[in-house]
Amino acid sequence: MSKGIKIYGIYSDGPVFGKTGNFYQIVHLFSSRGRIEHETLLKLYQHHFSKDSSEILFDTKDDLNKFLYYLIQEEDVSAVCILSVEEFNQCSEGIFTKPELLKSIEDSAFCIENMDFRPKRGIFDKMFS
Amino acid sequence: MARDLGKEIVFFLPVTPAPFLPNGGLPHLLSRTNSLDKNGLVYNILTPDGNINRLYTFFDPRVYQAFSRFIHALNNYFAEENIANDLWGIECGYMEDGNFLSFLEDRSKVYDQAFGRFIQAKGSGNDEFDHDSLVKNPDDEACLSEEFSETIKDLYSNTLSEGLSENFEGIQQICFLGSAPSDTFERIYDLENLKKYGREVFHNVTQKIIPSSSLIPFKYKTGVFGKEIEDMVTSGFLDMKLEPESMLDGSSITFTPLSFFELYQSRHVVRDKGFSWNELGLVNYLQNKYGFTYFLNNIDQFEWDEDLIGKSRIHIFHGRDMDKGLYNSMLKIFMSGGRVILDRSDMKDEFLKKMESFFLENSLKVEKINYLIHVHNILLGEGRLLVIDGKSLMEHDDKKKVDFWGVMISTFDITHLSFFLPEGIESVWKTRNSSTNELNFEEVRRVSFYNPTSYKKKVRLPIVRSFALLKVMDENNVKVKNWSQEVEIEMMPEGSISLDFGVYS
Repeated sequence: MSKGIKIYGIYSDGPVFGKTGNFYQIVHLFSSRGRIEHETLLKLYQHHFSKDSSEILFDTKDDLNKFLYYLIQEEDVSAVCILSVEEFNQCSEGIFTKPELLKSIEDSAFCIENMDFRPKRGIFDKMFS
Repeated sequence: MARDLGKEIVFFLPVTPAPFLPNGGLPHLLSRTNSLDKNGLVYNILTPDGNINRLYTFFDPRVYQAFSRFIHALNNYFAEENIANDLWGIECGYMEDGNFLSFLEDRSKVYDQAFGRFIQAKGSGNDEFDHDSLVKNPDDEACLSEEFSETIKDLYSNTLSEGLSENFEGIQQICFLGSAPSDTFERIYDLENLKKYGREVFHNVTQKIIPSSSLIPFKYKTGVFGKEIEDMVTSGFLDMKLEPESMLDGSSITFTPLSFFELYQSRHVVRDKGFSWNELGLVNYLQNKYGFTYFLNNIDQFEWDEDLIGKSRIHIFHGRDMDKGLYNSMLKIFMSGGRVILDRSDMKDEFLKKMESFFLENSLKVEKINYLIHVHNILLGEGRLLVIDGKSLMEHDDKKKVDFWGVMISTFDITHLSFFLPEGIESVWKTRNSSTNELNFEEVRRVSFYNPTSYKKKVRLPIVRSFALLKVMDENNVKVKNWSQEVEIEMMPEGSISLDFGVYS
């Protein structure tokens, strides 16, 4: 992915149908390139959490954050910014246009930076720096 | 004015939140509690001009009361103005994993409170009502929740049908492309997933749901996506949905979707515990081999009609859906020379026994075949009944399931042009009666191809006996080579084309 792209996500926290206990779950993940496909996430989840599962569930918020960090390294983006379902609903209030909604999500989300991310420099960057 | 222009006005009145209207169609004073999707998120529906429509719950009793008053006032207005045009109630929704989800579905606090009252009312007939006895596990709760949502949907629909009985024609489901919660997060960046929408249009038509592109900006509808909408929805399908009588007229030469297979199953996604036709591999097989030449019908809306027998269609039922009326209708199709496939798994013993006695009483020979699973084949004149056991079929992998259907369906004599479709290319078949100057043919079939991908693709269409190429039309970004036994179509990105074939026996 190119310079400066961030992934945004919404997660839920609560009981999951057919399972005992509370889990963290990713509801939506998207960037300016579109949605992140479930297959991509599942592959990464199975690789790092060694679980033979078709559902992506996390016992703790730390596990969720860890997974998202693996994701931004894999996708080579600058950061992932997440917010809970409740936070998303709150930040949607009083918003009536597309740009307002995007800005509100950007302002309300908690971001995890990709420390290994080095923006790729284009030919013009190289010429003028 | 519409009459002067030769147009017929049809009214659509939403019985669910309407994504194309501010506040989902509710007046400001009634827009109190946000409706929440199954993940608990508020609906943010993006309009073509970049505004956001938020939806509000229809489970609020004040909303129902206002709806009821509005219907009464509208009925008075129609009577005063002598307006006799057709009016359809519309259930607005979106597609997710091939299933239609209604915008009535809600998980807000208001919904929870109403659902609590519903459970209480359900148990009130029972003196020893105990919430736990009715809801033993999350599965029970999900089933009751589905039943509750349907009860409320019926409440709004019945209020409309009774309040505007002179104009009311029925309820139509409308899928608003781009309104799914996951679409919002792409559309926020001005990304329109036209390939996904195009695919949804095909799924809508097979499920007899009307797709609407009213939320998609016009600039995206000028290419192949717009052509798909025009070919699949605007011409033929809308008439079929809104003026079904006109389609039954034998002299009609309007193209309608071609269907060889009528699949029936329940739309109670939660309560229907059995395997779907999709899980049994049939939908996958039909899509690959026959394109979208099938309808996936809602079994709850099945009605016996003489027309069910004609046109050599195959009617495919789940045994678990059988009740007395459906069982009798199925036998009626078979006895009248129709073709039926029945999945007997989970069929009630009562009907299994009835079927055995029916075979014995009519001295019907039951031919037993063993191909992956036990299959029973019964013939009666031109009628044919093929009985399979879906549960046994589920023990096999997806490839074997597809092979199974390939063998079974090949034993039915279906006149069709099959072809290999490259990945990403969509195709659709339509049919019409032959006109007076086409009397050599029994019918005229039109196949259209669309290339929504950004790659060049090649389609080879072998022309077999019983088919004669009549004309090639609507060529956009394509090159056509016509050989004696084959048509070769080179499709550039955004390419589309239609070909008409005369069919003779």
